[in-house]
Amino acid sequence: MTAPARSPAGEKPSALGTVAPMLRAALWGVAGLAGGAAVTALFSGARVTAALPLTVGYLVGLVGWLLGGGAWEHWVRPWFGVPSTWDEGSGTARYWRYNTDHKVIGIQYLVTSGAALFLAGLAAMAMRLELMTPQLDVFATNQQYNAFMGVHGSLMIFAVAVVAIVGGFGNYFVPLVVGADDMPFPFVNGISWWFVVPGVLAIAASPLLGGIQAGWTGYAPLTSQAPDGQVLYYVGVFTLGVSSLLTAVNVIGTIIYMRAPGMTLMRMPMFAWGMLVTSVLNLLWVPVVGTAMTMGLLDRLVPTPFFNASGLPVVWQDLFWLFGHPEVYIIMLPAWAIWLEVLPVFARKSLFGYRWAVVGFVGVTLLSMYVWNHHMFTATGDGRAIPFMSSTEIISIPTGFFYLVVVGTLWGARMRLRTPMILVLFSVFNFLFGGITGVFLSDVPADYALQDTFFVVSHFHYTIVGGMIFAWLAALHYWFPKYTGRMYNERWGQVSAWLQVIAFNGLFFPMYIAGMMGMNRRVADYLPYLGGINVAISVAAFVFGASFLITLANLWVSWLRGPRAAANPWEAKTLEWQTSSPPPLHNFASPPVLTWDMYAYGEGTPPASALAALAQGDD
Amino acid sequence: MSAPAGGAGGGGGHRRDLWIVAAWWAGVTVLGEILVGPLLRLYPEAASREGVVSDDAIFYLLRLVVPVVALVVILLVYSMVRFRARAGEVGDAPAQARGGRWAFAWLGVSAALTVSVIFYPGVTGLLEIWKSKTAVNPLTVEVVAQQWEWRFSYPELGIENAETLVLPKGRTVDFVITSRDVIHSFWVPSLRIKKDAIPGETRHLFLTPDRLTSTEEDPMTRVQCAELCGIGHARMRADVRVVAPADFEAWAAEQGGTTASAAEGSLPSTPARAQAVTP
Repeated sequence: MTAPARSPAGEKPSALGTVAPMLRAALWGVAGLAGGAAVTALFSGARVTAALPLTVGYLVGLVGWLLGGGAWEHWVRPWFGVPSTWDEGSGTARYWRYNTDHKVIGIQYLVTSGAALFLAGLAAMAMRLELMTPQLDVFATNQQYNAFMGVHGSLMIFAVAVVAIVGGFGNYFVPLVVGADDMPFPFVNGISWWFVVPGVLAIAASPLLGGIQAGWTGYAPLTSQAPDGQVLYYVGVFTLGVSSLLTAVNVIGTIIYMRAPGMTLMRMPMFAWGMLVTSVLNLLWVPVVGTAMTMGLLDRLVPTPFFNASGLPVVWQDLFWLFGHPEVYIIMLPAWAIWLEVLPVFARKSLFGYRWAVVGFVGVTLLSMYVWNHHMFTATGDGRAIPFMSSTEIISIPTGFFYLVVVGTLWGARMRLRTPMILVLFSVFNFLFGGITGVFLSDVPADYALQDTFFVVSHFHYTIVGGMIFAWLAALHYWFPKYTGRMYNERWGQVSAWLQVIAFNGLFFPMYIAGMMGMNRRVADYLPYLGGINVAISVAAFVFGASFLITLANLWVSWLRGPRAAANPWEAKTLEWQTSSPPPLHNFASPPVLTWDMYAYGEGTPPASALAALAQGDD
Repeated sequence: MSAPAGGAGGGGGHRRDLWIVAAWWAGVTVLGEILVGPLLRLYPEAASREGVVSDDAIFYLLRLVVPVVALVVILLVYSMVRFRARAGEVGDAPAQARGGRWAFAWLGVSAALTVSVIFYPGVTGLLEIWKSKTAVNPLTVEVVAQQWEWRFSYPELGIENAETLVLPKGRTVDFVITSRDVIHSFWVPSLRIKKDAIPGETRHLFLTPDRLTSTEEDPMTRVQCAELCGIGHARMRADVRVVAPADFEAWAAEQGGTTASAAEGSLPSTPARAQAVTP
């Protein structure tokens, strides 16, 4: 492993100097986009915003952005034997440039996915404003509504749900929890985040070119009619996929090869288990969606009729959901991992059923690859109904293990109900409804009625928002003292958590009923008999949206001027807490050795205060 | 809190708490099951034989999950209240006894529930719905979806491109569904079961309307496109009327086609139908 050049903490650079590399990256990116598109337009005789110039421009712009961020000095020049002159910066400047420290990269991911959440959340607010009334009034056209819908879904799934925990906390905390000094391929890791920003920007910019009219699932052949915003969906999702792949390689490498001495697989932290199985799914299935995106793009560029009526329209759905269902677990496995990471610390009680949790992680991972057709029961032949109904329902067995571990750990606990714990309990509560309604949707006779209605919308929001986003919020608070070195405000943390769970349920629970009453998905206008329930849903949606501003303000202000946090404020026993807050460049003063059970509490277990010294081997 | 030391029992020594939770669970489950009944009666009843099967599945699952949800929620809430650290209470909870018996019980119950719902209402419901595929003398209705309208043809009756879907009560209808452009989904909410309309392909949906209803009476009785198909998706609807067989014949005659009774005996091999069945 090459130790990248890192500058010692020097004098404070100017504000412009701090952001200079990212400015250069943006400049090179825009120049590449404009130049690539203009030259292609010139040679192909097409408009500069047509599919081909747009694709070429995006690719050239992407390369320009990557090089401008530091890959030119740090990747290209050393490749040709010129010594790297890249300065990885210090202080806040590290975040604005190509940096190979996994902790810097984790923060970059975390902030980017937070920003994407904000953007996509705003789009949702606009959609709920429109749905306050049965007729179209906020948006001028249905196309505008669909453009917002496309941005909301695509960003939330591809830039938030699969990125926020895996990219943010995965990068930051996987090396820390397994006692490693970094990831095995820091150069690859550094570049991975730089793929996220263009992907997010492409999707966010899609309304300028008519929007992503077919929604985040991009069903063909509707896409073949869609305006060129569709191109930005293909390239944006593809780029975000590249970032996920590079992260997956690093996470797997860290967990397999870089665990601290004493950390056998069956002593590994829950978070590492969750990240390992998630990364395996990413490694296997992101290439499939990348292939689908490429084929979809070729359908526009060449055109190759893969997915229109001269090809096979339903094959798009197979390819999309072959990735798309494992992806649901790419979203949820990390969330379960966070439940089980946070619970014993605040329950002050040994984790119940570690091995059951591991079987749950592996079982869900394996089964998740055989359930995709349950998204397509109304599109595919009857022969697929029983096999996929069975596999889908069977996955609830390993999923149930997580609930077993949760209630087993809580029973007889001595719980400290701090914000992270409350948010985990809320996530457990919300996901229960998401999971249970999944049983309805996997039952084909019921699914025939419920498919493509608000019942489905509610179901997957209960799992992804209620389950994963709540777990992400829990992790944001739980690890806040570690990654910032400061403590958040507990009172405001609890206020926002309670507001979030109440508004969330007020928002999404009525959607189950709306769906059963005949409210179909992806509509800007609907029949007046569904008016009342939609008003209620919208009001709750606005409260839910506003509650995130409290969280944002709390964490932002606390990061800047919260009280200094101790190294181990929660008295946790996992390794990331046995080093300073925030951890130093290579994480631990000396490589830690694991000699204790990280999830054992109570009599006969070493107290948390003794572990930092124990990890360093000096008793 | 006088935390009893972790006993050897599976409950970790909190035997009294177990009984309280069990009592709560039983109470909430009974209450939930009692409340589910009137709640479900508020739900407008399905207007097709197959739709009733779908409703039965939803209602059965709803009743089945009441105790499951009750158990988890009660355990969560009870633990939050009972097992929280009181003021001044520091230190860890007592080391717990192994809960292997509970875990295996959990596995056994969840596996049994899962396997049972695969068979009922899953497989049995599907077989019940699919029975209509072999119905005697179904009425063929060709459904053509295109942006953003529905057209209904009755080849046996010589009726083409009707804009309103008129169905006789009590007779199984073989909807032969296709699309001229993008993917749509043929759905009448009150009949429940939907089927996608896919360009270049043909799908059959067999439904038996068993209640007189119409779009004017009930907005759930409408054809509604359920799969996003472009800017007109939300308004891609058509009116539906389920009428008595005699009224259906009168309507068919009015449309200028052959009468329904004359068509009933005809072989299902008119060119239009043969074409529709063969993709």
